[in-house]
Amino acid sequence: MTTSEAIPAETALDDIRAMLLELLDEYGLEDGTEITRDTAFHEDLGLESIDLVALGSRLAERYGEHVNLAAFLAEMELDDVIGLRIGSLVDFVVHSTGRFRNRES
Amino acid sequence: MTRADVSGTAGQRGREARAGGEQDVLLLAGRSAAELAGRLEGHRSGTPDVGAHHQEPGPRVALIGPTRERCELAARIVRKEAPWRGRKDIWFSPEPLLSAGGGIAFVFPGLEAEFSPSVTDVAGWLGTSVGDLDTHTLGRYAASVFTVNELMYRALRTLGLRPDALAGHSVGEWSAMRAAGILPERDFVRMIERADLDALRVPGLEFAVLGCSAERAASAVRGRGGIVVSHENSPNQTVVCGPGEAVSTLVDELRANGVISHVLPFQSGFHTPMFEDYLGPFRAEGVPSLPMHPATIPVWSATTATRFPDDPGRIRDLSVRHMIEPVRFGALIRQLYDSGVRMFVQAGCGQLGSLVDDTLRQSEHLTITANSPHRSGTGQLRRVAAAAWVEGGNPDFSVLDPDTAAPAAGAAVSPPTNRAELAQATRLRELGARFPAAAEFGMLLEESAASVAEVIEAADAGGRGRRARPPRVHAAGRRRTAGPHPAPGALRHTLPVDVESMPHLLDHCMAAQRAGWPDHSDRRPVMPATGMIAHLAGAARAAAPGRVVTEVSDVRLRRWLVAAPGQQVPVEVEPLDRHRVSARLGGFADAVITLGDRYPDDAPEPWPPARYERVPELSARRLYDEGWMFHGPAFQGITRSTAISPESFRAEITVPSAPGALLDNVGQMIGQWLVENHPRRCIAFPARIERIRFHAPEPPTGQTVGGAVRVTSLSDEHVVVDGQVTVNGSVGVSVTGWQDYRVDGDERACAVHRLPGTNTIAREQPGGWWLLAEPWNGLASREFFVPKYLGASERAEYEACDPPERRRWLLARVVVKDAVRGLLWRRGHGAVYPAELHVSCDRSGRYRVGGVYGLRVGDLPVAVDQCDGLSVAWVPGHAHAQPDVAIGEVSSTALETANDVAPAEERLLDRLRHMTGDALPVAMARLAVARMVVRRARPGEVGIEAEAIAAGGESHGEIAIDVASATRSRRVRVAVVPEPGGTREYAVARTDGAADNEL
Repeated sequence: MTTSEAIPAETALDDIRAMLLELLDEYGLEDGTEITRDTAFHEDLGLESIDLVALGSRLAERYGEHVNLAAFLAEMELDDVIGLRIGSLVDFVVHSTGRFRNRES
Repeated sequence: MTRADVSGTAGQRGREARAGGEQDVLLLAGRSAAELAGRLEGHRSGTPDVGAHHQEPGPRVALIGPTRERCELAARIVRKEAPWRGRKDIWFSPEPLLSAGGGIAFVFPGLEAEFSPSVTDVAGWLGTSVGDLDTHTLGRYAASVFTVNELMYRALRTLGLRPDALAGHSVGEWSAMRAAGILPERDFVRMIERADLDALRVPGLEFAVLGCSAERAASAVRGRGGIVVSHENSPNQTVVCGPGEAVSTLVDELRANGVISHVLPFQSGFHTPMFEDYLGPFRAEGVPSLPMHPATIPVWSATTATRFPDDPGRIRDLSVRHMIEPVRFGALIRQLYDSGVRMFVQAGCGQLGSLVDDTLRQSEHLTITANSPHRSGTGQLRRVAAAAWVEGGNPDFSVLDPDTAAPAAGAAVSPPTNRAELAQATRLRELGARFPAAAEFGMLLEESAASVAEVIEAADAGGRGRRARPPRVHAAGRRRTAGPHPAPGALRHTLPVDVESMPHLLDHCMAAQRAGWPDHSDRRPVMPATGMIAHLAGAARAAAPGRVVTEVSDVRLRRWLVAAPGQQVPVEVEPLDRHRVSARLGGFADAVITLGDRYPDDAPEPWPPARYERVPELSARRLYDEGWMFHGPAFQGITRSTAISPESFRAEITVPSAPGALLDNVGQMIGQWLVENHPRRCIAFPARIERIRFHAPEPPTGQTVGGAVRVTSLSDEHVVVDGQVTVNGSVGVSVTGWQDYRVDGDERACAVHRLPGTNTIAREQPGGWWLLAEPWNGLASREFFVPKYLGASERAEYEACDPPERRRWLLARVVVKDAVRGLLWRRGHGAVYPAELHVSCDRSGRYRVGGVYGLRVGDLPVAVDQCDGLSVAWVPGHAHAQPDVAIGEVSSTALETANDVAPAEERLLDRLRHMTGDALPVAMARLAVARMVVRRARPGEVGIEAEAIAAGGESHGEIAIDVASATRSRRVRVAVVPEPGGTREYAVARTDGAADNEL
């Protein structure tokens, strides 16, 4: 850990976008699905709750176990989980990496 | 699962509202991906293409809303030559899965966290309604899920998708059982209606969905009292169940460890051992309480991850296990895949597709849901059809005509597909009028392969592929919600079945009687199987006015429908989808009936003559005159027996008058084929018929048509044939899988069936006594002979017997009646039918015989005895006799006790053996049966066993023995006979009741 700062939001979005495209099996496809902060996980990407499991383990692999998607989702109501947008995931990654790094430094 | 398309941030609901494009489907098949991509790139924007009937193998692509941009996107996807299944509403399959032999499974969801069906338009499209889909209590929630599942099943079948397997997740399995016909619809619906849906008694246990494997979940719950794994959903999803507090602690801990978990919003305790305490009411009123039938489509169990058993008892057991053992959905999906299933359709709404995908991550397959909350119901069905077509399926896009599908999402109705089709067809017709070659070309279009379609397509980018159907013009004002044809309705009525209203049934009697016999019930007139089919078809027609029956399938002939005494039979028709109904004639017969606006012109070619044909032995005249067929004039249709071979039979049938008589004669042809090829078991009657297709209206009474049957399978129990009826050289009716049950019985049984007045099943033995070996094994065969031997009052007695007693009871009557009839014939009497004799048995076991309806037999004492499957009767023929008869097995095990024989006994046996030369076991058996009759003649008298015996000579193979006590002796005749058709020997002793001799 060489930096004491949280992952920048753009980096987090890029990372998450790459992970999602991989999940969607569209990685590397030119003009693949456009993914922005406003994109909805379920409704727009057609991903289901079980895909969150795969995304959760990719996030943990990339950033460490402290980026715990399970804990993040636990605070949400079921309807919120269903309506989850990518922007919330980005904020969650920024927040939890920052929290960890701050504690480290 | 369909992954929803997205362009930018527009959701599907937004896109649905756009005019036109949503309703258009572009379908392309080609020889290579490159060719497909080229055609996509050249595709003229906005022109629909419904070349849905390419039959060639090769890659296929489909896209919804084929704008120029989207076609270009699809082209890029296709050029990568990797499968693409559903995202962006594009499907591409380089090697279509179904063309390669893959199967289709419909998977029914159970209860999930979310339930947002989009079905109002589908219900309207199918001409039904779904009511309010309430989810407030567990019971109502389940009922709503079943309703949606059932609706989606009908929708998928209407689209022309034929599942090779059905399965369900959790209680969705009941929907699968229902769809496969295991649970009759009526009973299932009644069960749901009857249940107090707000007060279902279930354990108040929580479910938690865990984002981890079953192994990890199992180790997490180990040592936590009361929590068990209830659903092994997929590699990354497992459900556990237990008391609320324990479950919530577990969920917290797992979340802390990064396992995504949540508690489900309903409680039930299903699929856990905790449900065992609640099984009582479930068994009494739930699924196990319902009548069950073998599945018409294979159903797979998530409890065992294998196919359901066929036996209703075992299905019932499984339905109980289902509630107390975990759902092993992942294992089930894996097994389905291994059995060849490649396309998984979620027949309902929910997330099952994601579980299938998670399970089959590395295995090529297609999943798609029949219903999605993100678009209209018919819009999603269009995608299912597109996806199935791309994999080589043959869905019927025409039923989704935008003209009639109710646009729930408010899309502007614009039927370019239809319009284009219409324009194309109209143009061809116009051209055809001027240039006959164009008409021919049109026909070619309708029949030929993809290559022709491609030529047309190249010539006219807006061209359609092969469309077999002429365009339909919908009359203005036609009911829009009912679909292209009015859906058949439900229908119930009662059919009186009796010989007064159906006198032709007196020509279809199972038991011949003396001419003028007054009791019709003794003749056992029954409605022939084909008559029942005619009534089922008639009821289906009545439920769908204006339409014709094009197919009758899944015919089950369950019981004889007896017409005397008459009965009122309920006839019920329930619609299955827009073309099919299920029809039921009481508990006697049922079938699925397909209705059409006209007869399809897909008749097969008439079969050529078979190899090894010869002239049949029985002419048509002999067939009926000699009683080979029991049918009377109203059913006698075979007018020429043309040619027979070891596997086939051809004949001419002149259509007789009775309802169903044409097909009945096809059944008679099976009979003649058996008589000539397999006379040992030549009686057969229909048990089930897979499919009867009607290609033309039924020929009228009096017309002569061709009949042909080909035997496809033959065993001791069954004969299965395919059949054709040709009318003026074309096939008018084709039958596949007509299965007859073959009645057990030797030639003697066959002879009694044909001519009961002059034949017997029992055999007369030298010396004049009668021996009967039971000629049938099964209950069905036995009961087939009951009406031949028993008159009305005796049948009532038979029915009153305890079922285990009936067999011996019947055999005693058969052997007595045969013995008495033999005696009467010897005295010069003409034909005597078994029902003309009445046999009674008093409390002391003494049998008496009397005549019925005019037959006089005088006072004829008879004696009967039975041992194992053998029955013996002795009728001395004079009124004052007190005959007795006894039968016993010659048993080698008797030797084992021979050592204990008293010295006096040993002397008797020695003496007997000296007289007869018998082996020891034979001598012991002779002595035993001889004593039996003597003892019965002098009940209560002691000391007759160990006296003296004397040989009285031999006649007819019988040894006469005088069994003597100190004061008297009695003469007994003892024969030893081999068991007919068996390996054992029996000793039979008889006495004609002449008085004892004083010594």
